[in-house]
Amino acid sequence: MSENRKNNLLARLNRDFLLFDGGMGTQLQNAGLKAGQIPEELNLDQPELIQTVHSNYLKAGADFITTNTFGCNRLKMADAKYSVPEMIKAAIDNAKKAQEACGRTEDSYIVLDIGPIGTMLKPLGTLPFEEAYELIAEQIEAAGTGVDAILFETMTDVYEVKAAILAAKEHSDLPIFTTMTFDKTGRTLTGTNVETFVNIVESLGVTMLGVNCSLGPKELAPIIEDLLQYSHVPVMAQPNAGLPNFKHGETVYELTPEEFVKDVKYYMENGLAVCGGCCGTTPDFIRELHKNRPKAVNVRTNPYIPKVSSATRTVTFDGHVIVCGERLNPTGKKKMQAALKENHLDEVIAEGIRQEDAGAEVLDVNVGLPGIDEAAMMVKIIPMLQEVINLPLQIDSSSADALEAACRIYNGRPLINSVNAKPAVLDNVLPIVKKYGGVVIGLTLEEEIPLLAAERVELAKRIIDRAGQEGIRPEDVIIDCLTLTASAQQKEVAETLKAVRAVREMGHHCVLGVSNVSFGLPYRALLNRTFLTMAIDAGLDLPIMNPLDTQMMACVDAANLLLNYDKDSTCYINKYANASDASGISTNAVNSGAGAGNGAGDAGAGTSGSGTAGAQTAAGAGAGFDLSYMIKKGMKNEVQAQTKAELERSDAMTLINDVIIPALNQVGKDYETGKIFLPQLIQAAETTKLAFQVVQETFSASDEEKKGPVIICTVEGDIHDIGKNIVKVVLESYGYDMIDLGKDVKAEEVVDAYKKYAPKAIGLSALMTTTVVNMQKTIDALHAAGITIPVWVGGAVLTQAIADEIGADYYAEDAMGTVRQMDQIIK
Amino acid sequence: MGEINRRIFEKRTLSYLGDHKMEGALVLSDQIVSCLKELEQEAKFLACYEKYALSWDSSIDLGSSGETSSSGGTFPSDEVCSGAVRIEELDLTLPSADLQAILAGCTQICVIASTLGVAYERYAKRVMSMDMSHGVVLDAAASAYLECLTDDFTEELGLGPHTFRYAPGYGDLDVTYNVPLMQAIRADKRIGITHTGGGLFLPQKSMLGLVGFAPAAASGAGDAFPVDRCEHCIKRESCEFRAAGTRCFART
Repeated sequence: MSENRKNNLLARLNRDFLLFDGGMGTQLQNAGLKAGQIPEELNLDQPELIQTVHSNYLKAGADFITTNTFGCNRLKMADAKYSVPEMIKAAIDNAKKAQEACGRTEDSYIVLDIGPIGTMLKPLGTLPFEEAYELIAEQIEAAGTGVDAILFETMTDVYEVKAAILAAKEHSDLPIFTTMTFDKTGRTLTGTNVETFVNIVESLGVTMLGVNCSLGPKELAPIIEDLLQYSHVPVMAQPNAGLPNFKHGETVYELTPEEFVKDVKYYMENGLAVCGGCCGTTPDFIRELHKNRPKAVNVRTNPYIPKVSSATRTVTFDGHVIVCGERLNPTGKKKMQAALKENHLDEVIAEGIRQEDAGAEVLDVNVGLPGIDEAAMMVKIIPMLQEVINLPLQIDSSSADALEAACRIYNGRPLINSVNAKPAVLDNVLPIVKKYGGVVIGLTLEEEIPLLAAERVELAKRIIDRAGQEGIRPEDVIIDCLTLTASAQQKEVAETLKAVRAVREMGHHCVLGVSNVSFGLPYRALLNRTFLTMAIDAGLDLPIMNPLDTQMMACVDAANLLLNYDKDSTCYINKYANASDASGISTNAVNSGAGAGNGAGDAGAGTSGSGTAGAQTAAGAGAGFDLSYMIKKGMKNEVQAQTKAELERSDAMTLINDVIIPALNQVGKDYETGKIFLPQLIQAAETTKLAFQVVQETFSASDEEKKGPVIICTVEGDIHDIGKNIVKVVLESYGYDMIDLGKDVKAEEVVDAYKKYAPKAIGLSALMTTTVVNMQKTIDALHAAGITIPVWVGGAVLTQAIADEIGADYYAEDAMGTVRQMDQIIK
Repeated sequence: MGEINRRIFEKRTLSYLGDHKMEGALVLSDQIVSCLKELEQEAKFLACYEKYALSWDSSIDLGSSGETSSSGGTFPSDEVCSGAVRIEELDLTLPSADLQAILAGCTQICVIASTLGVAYERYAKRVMSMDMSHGVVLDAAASAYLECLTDDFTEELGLGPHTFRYAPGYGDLDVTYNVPLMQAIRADKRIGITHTGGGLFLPQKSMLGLVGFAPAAASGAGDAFPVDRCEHCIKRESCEFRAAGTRCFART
């Protein structure tokens, strides 16, 4: 497409009311397309038919015609008789011929149509993000400059949409239109609502966004209203011809063109820039739309408010205090450092979940640690976190490479931590912010932190101006006026607060790492929460803090009420209805308890709050049950206090050999003889793990007591990991050091892991017959690399015979069988 | 969907966990009730279906006569139902002796797909991360929940007398047949089920079933099934249901 033609299109969008075409599939089915036939092959087999469909839409008044390429990607076209480029080029050729035949080459546009890939992306599915990107990029490359715009439509996964938009941005400079499919609940099938969709795709730079398919115009009305409310770019809608009915084995849409237009007309006159049709619509629908369309778009001007999003949740910087959880950061946290170094990432994930449960709205993620490839770790851990945590993430790194890798793989619109006023940092990081549509934190420092508030405000202005030069909105820069440590720079604490106040008066949002204020001083919790309250009063609305510290969270909750963000005090009352003024705030009422004490202790709040968990467990220890009983009954809440109590009477090895292992063996025997169910076995195993944690603290060189390491994973192509996870937990309870590589793990990754961890054994799991072949592939790869350690296999479809056939050394029927075998393998 | 039959739900959940002695079952009872509440909150049941005319491809010899069980079959067993089941409209042949036997006498087939959705998948993963013991119960409960809701959905279709729901991958019909069947009923677009190349469903708590029916057949035909439906099952040797003297497809 020429630059003139592109400019013409962009000028007309949101000025002239324009029309898309209607359904292609419906037209082809009416022309005799059978179920199972590949519609894209018709571009070459029956070009006249495709040209006729396009011509009919152009004659009816469509300004845009979409190529017959909806499913034309390498995966879906695996059985097609033509290549993807052949079918796409033919499709464009057909559209051009239709334009010429109708004399509309100048005033109509050809849009490359790209529908869903057809399989789900990782982590919920098996398709890697970059492979999804490649599949879309191939289609865009094949189209070249033969089209006027690219349309991504009918997708239900916003992660796939992100891959598609990136592919378009990096392989063309064509306008990008993006529509998703929403159901009656206002969400896509993967849980994205309209506000989140708009926030993500708009920040990625699409030209136009909207909705298509799934419902008729009447049912789509609330979706269209939301799109018009949130969007700052032109909005399009392509409803179906009503809701589908099924008659005599056929899908039938019963809305007439007149009814269709009647339902959508209000929105055509009140904000929509483009309208067309999807399933069941025909040239008659477009003709009716043409007859009733307004000449010009009734342009809206929506206020801009910065927001960050995960795929399913959006957090708005509307002034309320947003807690950003600080605990996914190895700095000063030995457990987190060990988890990252030893690849025990499930502990990192659990810490994220605890923060979400405690009320954080955003989670900071920092994996910077000597010896860790930060970019690679970000790419690994972000999908793992996003698989189970709904919150938007704050990607935190001083490495531009790590920030870019993380922003690319992130599903949503990220908060990026951070830039500062150094020119080189601004030059390196701001293009990443722009490209991936992030909201960025600007640290008010250059070579050093200025002491005076006015100097920090000047740096804030410089960062915001520089961001503007990159095309980043000023609202999308959140300013960090930097908390200084009261023990070393007492006078400057007030300067920080003064700077926060000034930056808020400039209209910008403010972030602070709150607990920095108390380093080196006793009773840190008191200083932290007092500073938090003062900073909120000055205008802080993004404190980075420990959400497991219930008293700091209480300050935030109170502030949100007093500043009139917690309307009708609803959240406050829900949380604190049972809190007592006389005794201060009851931590039991505030928090479900998981980790409340630990978190406060780690943050230095131990003097005021960390006693709670201990008191609860001490009560459990006094209940009169011994350790053996607690393991057998899976009393996880009480077992650690009891272990401590029994360690006062017995040495560690005696406790392990005479109490813990016999108790666990009894549970295993009960399971195998059918007295208890699998969850009870697991409960006992998890309880044992907690007891072991206490016992290990008494060892001087605990590594010597661990057995292994042992690698375990679910093989490539298989995402069932429950069985693998069960085996892992049970083996851990018997003291094995387990390295879990996860699910859908390629053979090469297992070989690499062997080289990295030097395990004593490798366990492979598969649930499906179709993935057992990948088990064999993995074993072959291990053997080819000269690796001869024992490999054991398990999974629903495995038998000893299959295990023998694929070259495994051991087959284990279940978790207890694995324990018996492992005792033989690792003596 | 209305409320599910809790007794059947609980029984199926316990079956998925393995038929153990009463002591263990009593301990889990409250947990199963709790799982039901979680499922009602987190799962989003969606289902879709299409009906097709059945025919038989007699050129394929499956080595089975398509006999029904002596105990219950009331579909017209004297009809000629030899060869592989074929859905002409989809140009699809299903080479399965199981199906040949199960569908004997049927004139139509209903392809049903159902799922608990992606939100449940995320929730389950989260539970599993924090409390695996509960996660295992939840997983079993989710399978039972999906089956119960799909049973209700099937009954509401008004098929009349019909066979049980047969799922590719559990008998001698390869799991990869899920792919063309899912595509035929457009389960991806309608209810969000996609699949890997190997026929594995995404979201994982999804199912596809084939139900044979014959609008004109006598009532009670839904109980018909061949003598040994487990003959080709991959779990035949290790099946806990068979060991306990029952079958996975037993209704209650």
